[in-house]
Amino acid sequence: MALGSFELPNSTGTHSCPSGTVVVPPLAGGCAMGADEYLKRATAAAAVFSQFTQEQTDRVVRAVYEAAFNKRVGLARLACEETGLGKWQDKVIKNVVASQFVYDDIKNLKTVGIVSDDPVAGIVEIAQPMGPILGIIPVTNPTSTVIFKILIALKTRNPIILSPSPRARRCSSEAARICYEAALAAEAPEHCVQWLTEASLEATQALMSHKSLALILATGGAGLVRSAYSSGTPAIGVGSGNVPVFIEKSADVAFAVEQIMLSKLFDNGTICASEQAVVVERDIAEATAAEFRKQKAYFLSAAEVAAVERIAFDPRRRVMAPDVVGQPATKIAQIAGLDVPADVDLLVAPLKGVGEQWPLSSEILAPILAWYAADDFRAAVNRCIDLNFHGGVGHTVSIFSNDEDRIREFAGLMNAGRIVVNTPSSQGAVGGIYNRLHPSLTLGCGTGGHNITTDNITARHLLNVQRIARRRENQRLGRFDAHLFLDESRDAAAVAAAYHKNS
Amino acid sequence: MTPACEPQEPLIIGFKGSMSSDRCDQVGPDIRARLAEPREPVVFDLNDVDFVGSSFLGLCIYAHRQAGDHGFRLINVCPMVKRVFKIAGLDRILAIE
Repeated sequence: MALGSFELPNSTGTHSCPSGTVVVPPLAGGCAMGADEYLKRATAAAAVFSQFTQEQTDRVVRAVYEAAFNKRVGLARLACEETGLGKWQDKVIKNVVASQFVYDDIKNLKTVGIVSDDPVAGIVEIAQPMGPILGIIPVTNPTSTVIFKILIALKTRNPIILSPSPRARRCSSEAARICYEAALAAEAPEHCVQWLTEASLEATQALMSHKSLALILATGGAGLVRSAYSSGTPAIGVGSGNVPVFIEKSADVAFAVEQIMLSKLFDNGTICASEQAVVVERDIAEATAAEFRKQKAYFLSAAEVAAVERIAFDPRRRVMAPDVVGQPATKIAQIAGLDVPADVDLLVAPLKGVGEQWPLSSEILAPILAWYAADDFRAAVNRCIDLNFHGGVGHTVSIFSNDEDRIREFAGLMNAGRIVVNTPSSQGAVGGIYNRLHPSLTLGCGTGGHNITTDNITARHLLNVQRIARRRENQRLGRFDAHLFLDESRDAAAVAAAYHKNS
Repeated sequence: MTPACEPQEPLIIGFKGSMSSDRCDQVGPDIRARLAEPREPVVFDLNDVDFVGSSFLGLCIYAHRQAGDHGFRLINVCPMVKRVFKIAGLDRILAIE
């Protein structure tokens, strides 16, 4: 079957690399290759890769970027068709970010051998690969995340095994195949990219806890990320988002609304950094609502909010209902039994509070936006704190404002790795388009989101950096009478004075 | 005696400035004494408070426990202080407005 501009693997799930070698073996009787086999191959690839020079590595990365970029449209269409989520045109943009923007960001990064040399400090840093990496691929951004993770893994000479969401297996496998074949053509080690053709939770967990695995790049739902952390293997995970956008009264309202629409409607809201709730100061609430209506947003009545709550949120699991994820506003309205104009792009839900009592105050990756009017700046920021702490700690918040003091005050009060300013948050948080954040499809959420970093994850996170520390004696210590350390009658100030005395 | 079905007038206690541990040591005993016998809903008004120390958090928990079914809430909380209650996880047990 032809989809887009390329052929899918045949129905047995087998396919060949250009040399004729089977890349991922056929699944005999539904039995996927075991974790041992994947890791044996990956470990061999890691060993070979460790000998690569920077030039060889960069040649591989460039080849993969070009191949992925050249298939950006076909992969986007395939992802859309298979998952039923989002818009293919927006998935093309995601593929462009994952290939071109990520490549531009990492292409000049030194990732092999000596990466810095400070003769004064006597510190030389040497970049070493980590070893086999397991990449978890989410259903919401499958092909782009595959491309992104392969690029940053290969740039750091790490083989990668990809475990796609079962709902995005075909498109993820195809993206991986394209990248792998390009890497092989550029003389990358065999098996430097592998992927699970029959991904299951059990298979993924077996890989996660395998002793030969070096790192897990866990982009996915909370359950998978928790499994990754529990596996005993080092993991870089992500947290869930619940992004408030604050339209402060100094903002250009029309611009703010336009940007929020651009962001929230992108791929039908499937990006975890997309705005989930808009908070406006009362002074500008009416004008802001009018602007939203002008830009094809539909304000739900209280009864309509209740109807959307019933179909958009799963109260048992306390998460968004999968049926609405990545669907257009009119389809969601239809599922909810609402009669809305055919040209409506966004459903806006005025809410009185934040929390489980108000299901639409939670993260819903669809064109549904909660709406709050606050009496003043202080009340608005308090509302944003509530939203931020209601399932989105450490992720992203957004503000539209032309008051620098207000922006800084707001930023200091939020718990977010990214505070995007006058920017569509979906595209802003991902980086590289509206700001100089590192382009990434894996957004760290810090310890608040149970992650190790708030960074946008990129190649530099996939290196073990060794440091040669040459002898540079502390001359002040050499002149200091070390016996003073042994005399407890000397307090910190007395010892510091002696230590720093010039004589 | 006020019938149980009628809402009772709350006891509103206002605070100002920095509610550091020293400050709590000064005002805490009187407040604790006043709350020893719960008689009405208790409200802490933090309109002019820009810092809260751990002793003040303890005082809030004490007030919450003492008020019991009468109810305890914090009002006029500035964002900086609200964030403290969020980080401490106290927003899950205390009513903060």
